[in-house]
Amino acid sequence: MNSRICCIACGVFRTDLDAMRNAGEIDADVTYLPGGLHTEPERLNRELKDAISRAEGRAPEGGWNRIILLYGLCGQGLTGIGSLSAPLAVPRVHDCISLFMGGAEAYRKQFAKAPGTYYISAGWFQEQVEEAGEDHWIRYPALCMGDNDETGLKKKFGKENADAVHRFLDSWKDNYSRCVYLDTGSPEEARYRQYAEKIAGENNWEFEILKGSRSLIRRCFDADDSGGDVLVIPPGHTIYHDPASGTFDSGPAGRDEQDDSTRTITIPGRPKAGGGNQRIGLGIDAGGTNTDAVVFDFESGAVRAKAKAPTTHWRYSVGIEQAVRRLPPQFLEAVDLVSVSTTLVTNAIVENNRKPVGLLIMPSGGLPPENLPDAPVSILRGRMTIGGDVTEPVDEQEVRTVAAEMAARYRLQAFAVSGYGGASNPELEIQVRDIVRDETGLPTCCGHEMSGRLNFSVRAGTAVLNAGTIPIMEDFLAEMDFSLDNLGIRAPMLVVRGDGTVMARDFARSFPVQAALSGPAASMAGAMFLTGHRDAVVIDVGGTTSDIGLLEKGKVAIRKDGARIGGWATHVEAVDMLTIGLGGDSEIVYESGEWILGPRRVAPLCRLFDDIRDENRTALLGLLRDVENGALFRRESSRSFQVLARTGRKPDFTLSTREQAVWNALETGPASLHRIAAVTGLVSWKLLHTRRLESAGCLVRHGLTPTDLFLIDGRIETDTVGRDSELAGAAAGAVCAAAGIGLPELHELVSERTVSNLGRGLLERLIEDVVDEPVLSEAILDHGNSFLELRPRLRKPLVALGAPAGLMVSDATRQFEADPVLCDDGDVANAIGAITSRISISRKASVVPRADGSFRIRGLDSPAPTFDSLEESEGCCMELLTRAVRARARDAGTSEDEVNVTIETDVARTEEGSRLFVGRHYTAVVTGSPDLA
Amino acid sequence: MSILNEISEALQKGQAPAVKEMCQKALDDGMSAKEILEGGLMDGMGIVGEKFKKNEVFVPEVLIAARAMNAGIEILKPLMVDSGIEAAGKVVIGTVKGDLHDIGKNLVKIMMEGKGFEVIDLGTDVSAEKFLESCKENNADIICCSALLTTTMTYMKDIVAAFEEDGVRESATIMVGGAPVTQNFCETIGADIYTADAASAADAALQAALAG
Repeated sequence: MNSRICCIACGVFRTDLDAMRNAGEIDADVTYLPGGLHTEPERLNRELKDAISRAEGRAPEGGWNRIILLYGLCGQGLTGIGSLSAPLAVPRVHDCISLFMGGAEAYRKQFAKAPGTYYISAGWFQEQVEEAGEDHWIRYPALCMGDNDETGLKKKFGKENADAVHRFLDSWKDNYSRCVYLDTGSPEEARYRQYAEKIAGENNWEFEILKGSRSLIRRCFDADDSGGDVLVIPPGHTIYHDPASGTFDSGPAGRDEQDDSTRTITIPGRPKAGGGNQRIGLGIDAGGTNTDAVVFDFESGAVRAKAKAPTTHWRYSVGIEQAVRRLPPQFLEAVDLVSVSTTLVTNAIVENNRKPVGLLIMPSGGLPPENLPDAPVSILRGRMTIGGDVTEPVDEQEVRTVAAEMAARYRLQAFAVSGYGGASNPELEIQVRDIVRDETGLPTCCGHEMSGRLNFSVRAGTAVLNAGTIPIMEDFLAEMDFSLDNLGIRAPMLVVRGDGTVMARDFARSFPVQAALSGPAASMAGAMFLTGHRDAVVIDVGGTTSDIGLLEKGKVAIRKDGARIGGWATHVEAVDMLTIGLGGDSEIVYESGEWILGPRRVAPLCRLFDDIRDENRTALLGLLRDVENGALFRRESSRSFQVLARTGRKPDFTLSTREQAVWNALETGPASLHRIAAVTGLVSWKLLHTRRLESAGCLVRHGLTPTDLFLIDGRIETDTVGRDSELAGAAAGAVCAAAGIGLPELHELVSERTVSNLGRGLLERLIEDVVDEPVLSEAILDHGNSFLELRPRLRKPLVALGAPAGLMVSDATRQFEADPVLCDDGDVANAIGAITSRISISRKASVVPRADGSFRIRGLDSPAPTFDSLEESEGCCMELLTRAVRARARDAGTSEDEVNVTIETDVARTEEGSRLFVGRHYTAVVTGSPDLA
Repeated sequence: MSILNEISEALQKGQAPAVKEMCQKALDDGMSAKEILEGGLMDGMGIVGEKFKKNEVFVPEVLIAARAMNAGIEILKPLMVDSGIEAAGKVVIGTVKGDLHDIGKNLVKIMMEGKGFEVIDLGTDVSAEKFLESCKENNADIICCSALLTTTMTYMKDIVAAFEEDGVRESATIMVGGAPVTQNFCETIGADIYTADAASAADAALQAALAG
């Protein structure tokens, strides 16, 4: 023998290799290993290594040209195999069936045709049946189970039991439907075929003869590159199983682990034209209490001017215009970018003022999902699998009829469409949306446009909220156009999103729900800008509430499972914050022997000065002094001397008699509840009807607040919060007298409550689920017990924002060994966050393996394509995803087109220790500054 | 030896006719169906399960014990509702899409029934949607997915995804098993429970049902 080719093959190839050798097709030194080693991968691995070193020992002069290993994945027994002296060649197939068929593709077709197929080839029959008698398991399955042979089983358990065991072990045969004889052209073909036919007959399977092919076996002898279905491994390299592609690959020895760690790649964009050269920006935050406006100089990064006005919830643009008018006019002309954060959308959702939306649902089967949002719902035809395969098409006529009927019956102003599987493949949702728009002309939102995450009823809910706030956002944008025009500002407008980034106005019109929670998000973003801290805890002390959020790696921390807005589960990516019902304007009330601090908000008494007439003020002071001197109701609730005032807004609803009485009583200016009751002839102030007038913004309630206390002990300047420290002092004196304590004790009490509430809130925000462990959180807040000291210490800086922030926060944070970072413009951090934030758009897609060995892309707008190789599907996924994220970034208002793609791979260990590719996930992000035109 | 012990012993030996006879006798002696089921049949099946876990007995022993148990249940069945016997829970079981191997799955089914579960068997080649719909229709607590092939086991991730997509992920415990399946795989795809063998699967299901 003078062949330079060595072949180590599984015994099942003996017949075919012999035939090829006899025909002169191949010339090789062939060694056979016993068949069936794939069931013992470790032994296969050992025997292969031995066979290779033996082959190397008998190599001809000059060495082998190649050593062929005729094995497939075979339980991954080939992992770590290599040769130092010769190249190896291995077919890239799963097992010998593909090799007998000439390639993996042929096998895939057969698998798709009938997965339950029993394959028999000449070589397999000879080696496994004739030589080893290894077909007993198909004929006498019980032999495989312990030491029970055919007769033993009967003897041991009786005939009936033995039969039952057989039936059970044979039951798989019912799942098979076909026996195939793979004819590779063996001379004794008839013998093998007869055996296959017999097996088919015994099991009631269909019998089929398929023409086999030796072409892949032949390619192993002469293929020289590693591009195709034969892997050629250079000397010194070893084989590893690449879980991602599901086949072999090779690399320098020692490499049998693929690096699957998360990586990020950057796809560069064109240099951005005309962006990022804004000069003067106008940042606006229309919050729950105040509307703030700042003039921001982009060149110097400084705040040039700031102003506040009360928020006008009934028409936000009124308060915004007021605040902006208080800014120096010379700046306004120079403004070339406007950005607004507002509670508009949050309030519309929380107060259920959304416009009526019809929901069209395509569930997984016949049953609609639970927890559907509160909206008129219809279930439509159109079904798909979780993988995105359409199993029932959309019925256009049905969509038209249902949409037209619903629109008329419920006077709908918009539609939402959501279907099971829509996040994998949005095809059906898009079809329905287009038909509904065409039929009704109403705005229509799809679940997949809201998020690419699983849970189509939450996507449905998000789409309903979005569709229902589109008309509200449209009105707001129109008002803002008008107001900005009035102010002489001609600049593009942005709206802040709930994640602290911004979006162009037209994008906000399409996705108003993204603006929910934009106020707190803008504050967090502002805190980052003002302090330069990329990682920090932020406490924003507002009038009504305090929000605790985090900055992580230069971003506002987002709630990963989607924000809850007004009790609704959504997929809106918004700031993950904890809200405490405690702010500078929380009411301080003594009632029935109890102190109440919040959560109700009132306007501080010290702010009443501008509105109240002298004689009313004198009357109020008199009242408070009477209480303090003990001349009046010491035991009654201190709420009775809270003060109501008209705001300037007239009620747009019909007043009841009692409401009318209150309204009239305030004609001459603000008055205490006690006085209003007396004037209207009621025996108690508790009988006053004021709730509707207050919530409609027609009346405002003033009362004693922490802000008043800070003013009277001189800890804050009068002008920043109000001036009437005399009135504030009288109210504090009255409350103290009613409760029988002194003023220092009241200060102490409010401070303690604040410390405890904020401390608890901080702990809850920083340690997930700590609320479920009250013992633990008490122990931490109490700093342990007499035996164990526990001292929490913040690892990141703590930034305090808001008007009375420093005063309320510093005591509370001392228990975490932190000093709050305060900043000069912390009171307008939200407006600064609004104007300094960037646009950031992200999209996700995945590549997942399918049982037939192909790969599918999920999560893109176009119907999910399927590819044979991971490389192809990866390439396509990256291209489509990049295109999609760039398009959306342009819609959101930036022409930046550099894309960062983060790639994560899910790989799991299988029982035999190999690595299994479960999926690869791509997150593409474009971040850029807003375009000015 | 009490009659319950005798029933348990006979069941472990796979003596179906004896089990049947003794169950009838125990009923005639005034025992409740619940006592016989729990003290005799389930006791015996539990012992077989433990031995199977320790490789002291093999599949044939489990099968014949299950057969004997069914023979006993046939006698008790008409009285079970009155006796206040409730299923430990409802289980939907199947071999995943693309996979036709069901011996392992059938063993799990037997073990679960031995622990008192009502098992809805969807057979082989079961799609994620079929698991989902069956779970909802039957108000099942536990979903058991089996796969023998590395190429089909990845489909289990789709099953988890289907429950998430339908918003019912929290209400169902998803169990995975089959020769190539591991704890690591179970965690990677976000399923709830993996066990290495059929008897442990039944134990884990019972624990999950009690906890839920």
